[in-house]
Parts: sequence; C-alpha cells; structure tokens
Amino acid sequence: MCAAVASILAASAPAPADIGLNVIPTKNEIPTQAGKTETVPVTVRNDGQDVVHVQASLSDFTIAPNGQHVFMAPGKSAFSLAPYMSVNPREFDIQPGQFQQVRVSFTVPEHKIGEYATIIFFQTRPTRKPGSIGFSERIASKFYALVGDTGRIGGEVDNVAVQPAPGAQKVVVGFKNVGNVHVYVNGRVEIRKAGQVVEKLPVATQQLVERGSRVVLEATGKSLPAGTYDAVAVLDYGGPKLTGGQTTFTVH
Amino acid sequence: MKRILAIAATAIAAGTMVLPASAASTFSYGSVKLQWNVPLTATLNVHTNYNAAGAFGGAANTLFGSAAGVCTSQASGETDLNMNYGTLAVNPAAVVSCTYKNAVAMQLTTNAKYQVNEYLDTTAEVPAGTGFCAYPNGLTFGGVGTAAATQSVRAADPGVATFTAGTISACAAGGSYVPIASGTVSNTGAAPTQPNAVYTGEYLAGGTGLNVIGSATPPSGVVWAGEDLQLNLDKNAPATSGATSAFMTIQLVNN
Repeated sequence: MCAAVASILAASAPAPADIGLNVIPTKNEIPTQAGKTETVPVTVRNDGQDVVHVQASLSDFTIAPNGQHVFMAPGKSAFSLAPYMSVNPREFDIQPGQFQQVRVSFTVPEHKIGEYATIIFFQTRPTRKPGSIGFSERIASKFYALVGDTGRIGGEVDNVAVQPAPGAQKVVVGFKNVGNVHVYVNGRVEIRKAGQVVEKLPVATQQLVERGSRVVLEATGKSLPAGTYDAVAVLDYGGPKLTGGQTTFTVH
Repeated sequence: MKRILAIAATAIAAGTMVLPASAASTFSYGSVKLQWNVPLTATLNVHTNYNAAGAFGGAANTLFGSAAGVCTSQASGETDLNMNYGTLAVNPAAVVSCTYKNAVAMQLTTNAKYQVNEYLDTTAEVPAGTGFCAYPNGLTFGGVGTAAATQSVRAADPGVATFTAGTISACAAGGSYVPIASGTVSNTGAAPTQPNAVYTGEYLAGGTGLNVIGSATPPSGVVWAGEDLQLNLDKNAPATSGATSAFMTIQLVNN
C-alpha cells in the first residue's frame, strides 16, 4: 500500500522539464571540391535534466545592413548550401546527459565557385499546455563550404558620412563584401583637424559580413568645437590590404 | 631483431665517427609543428519563473496587473517552461496588461562571439490585439548579459503598451517588444515525424527577434539574461476559444 502511494506521488510530481542544449561545432568552415561529397559530424548534447526532443532544420541567412542576422527559407539565398545538403537524423530524442551525433553531408555541384553557406538549427520541441506560453530553444550550427581555391576575399568602403547628433557627431561607414567568402571586419574612424587626429572611434569588432552583403557601421564621437574636420575610416577585413574612405565635414 | 639492433648500433657509431671535429660543438635544431583546432561551441539553458539561482522557482508565480482584477497570481500549477497568466479581464475601453515577474532566465556558455534572441512563433499563436513586452532584469537588452542570475525588483506592472492596428507599437518605459516570427511552420506534427523533404523550415523567423544579449567577444564565463514578461491586451481584444497558448523561442547564434 505504501509502495503504491509512493508510486502515485512520484508519477504525479511535475517533471523538471528544463531545456539545456549544447551544440558543437556551432561553426563549420569546410574546404571542398565541386562534385565531391563531404560528411561532417555535429554533436548535440542534452545538458538539461529531462529528455528532450530535437528537430534539425535548415535556414539560409545573411547579414542585414544593421549587422544583424536575417534568416530565410532554405534555398532562398543566392549562395545557399542548403539545396546540396542532407542531415541525418532530422529528429531525435536525447536523454539527460547524453548526446546525439548528427551526420551532415553535402555536395557542391560542378561549376560552382566561392563559398556557400547555410545554418542548421537544432531546436527543442516545446511542450504545449493550454493557457500557457511554452518555450523552446534553438542553437545554430553554421556551415560554410569553400570550393577549391576559388575563394576571393574582397571588401570596400562605399560610403563615409557624418551626421549631426545631439551634442555629438555620428559617423556612418558603409562596407560592402565584394569577394565571394564571408569576412570579419574590424576598424576605426579617425577624426582629424588639420591633419592631427583629435579622436579615434571604433566602428567594428569582428563584424560578420556575408558574401554579397553590405553593412552600415556607426560610431558616435564627442562634441567638437566649430571647425572643419576629416573623418577617415580604416577597416581591416582580412584582405591583403586595409580598405578605407574619408569625408570632410564642418561643425558650426 | 638482433640484426636490426646491430645495424642501428653500427649506424649510430658510424654517424658519430664521421662527425668532423669542428662540428662537435655544433647542434642541429629541428622543429615540430604543433597544430590544433578548437571548434566553436555553445550551451544554452532556459528556465521560467526563475529563482535567485536562475532555476525554476516553483509552482506559484507572481503577476502584476495594470489595474486591479486584470490578472491574479497562480498559487500553484506552474511548471518549468510553461508560464500561465491565468484568465485576464479585458477592458472594452482601454489596454490592459499583466506582467509575469522573473519570467525567463537564460544561461549561456560559449567560446565565441554570440547573440541570443527571442521571438514568438507565428501569428496564429498570438492573435491581433495581443502582444508581449520584455523587461530586462539587471542588464540592458543587446548588452553582454550578467555574471549571475539577477532577479526582478519590480513591485508593480510597468504600464500598458501602445497598440496600433492590433499590434504593439511601443512598450512602456524600459520594455522591448517581442516580435512574432513571420516565417512558416512546416512540421506541426503532434508526434515525432521524419520529414521526407530535403529540408524543412520549422518556426522560421523572418528576422532575428528581440536581441536579448550579444557580444563581439567570447564571455569569460557563464553569461546570464533574465527578464520579466508582460502580456498586453488591446482594448476590447477578441475573446479566445478556451485557453490560448503560445510558443516563444530563445535562439542562439555564434558569429
């Protein structure tokens, strides 16, 4: 009798039901050859206290001008790897403390050059309860496939402008990825007066810029005395040379 | 075996013998190339109705209504990852809101640049006239997060949101709108299925949602983000058939 009661109590106790996922790697940069099939493992681990159901789905992405990720249906990007990719298994349960290894295979077709990318999201399935908000989480594992030696790093500053801001100067720098691989941009803007640097402003730290995308970097400087100044942007995007641009502005 | 050893010994001896006297103090250096690769990795844990430790806080919750009687805290029935606002009293002439204190805690560990976002899945789950605002606890949305779980100090509802054409156009001070994903749900099966398609687009978000925390550099340790979550109902919001539920996704993307 006591055992039966204990069993009922145990069964009716709420499950921990937390979610905790670990994904490794969350970025994959894989050199390949057109027509060759590559297979890469991704490990998904359940760090929570309850069994979790995980679904893998593909999503294309790019970087918006504001530097944020934008996600698209798989295959929508001009440089999508999704149409050439398969994931197995696509759905699985993971016990607490256990992991599932997922095999990701892709074959970039012949005549493709440069880099192709997509994301695999590993997402937990939320538990639906009437009258409540259920939660799920998803972690991205990015895949970049670079075909042979066709990768070309390229970037250019296509705009430097200074906009008045209350009590300050806002410098806007446009950077465009003109290569065929993703790049990370670091850089600064120097405010100069008569050739002398009066202020240095960081505008980018490891800012991701995907193939074919453009970002607008911003930095706000201090209030300046009246006069004519130059804003000089210097960006390092990992290419053989730095890129930059400048503009002249007047503070009244 | 003996023969091999003998040959090796002879070779060593011969090598020693042929060394010129002038080279006796000259050393020959070799180098070993050490190469390794550390992959990017990330772990994200999520709890609702969180306590001081960032874990699930128990069966009772704390709700603040924008006016008396709008909502009432639940004395029991809460489970982790399912937040219950109970029954809300809609007002035909004014927006009402109900704020869930210590609603969501996120715990992140990663060795790379990171960004954590949140969004609600599909408009079907959140009808017109209904919307959510999030209020950060001890952090700034879009910032790097906190070193430990931080609980809310809120003692009242922060004030209702502003609706425009059935959608929240502005939250009360300190709040941020939680967007609704504009993508599609392609796999809604109640039971696990194995999609036949080459790929699926489950809960695909058109944008990134609300940027909760992020940094261009990896964190030195565990990073936390906590928030209160406010449910807003536009004036005379339509009644729902039975109890309505919604899904919120917490998304992590490394650089």
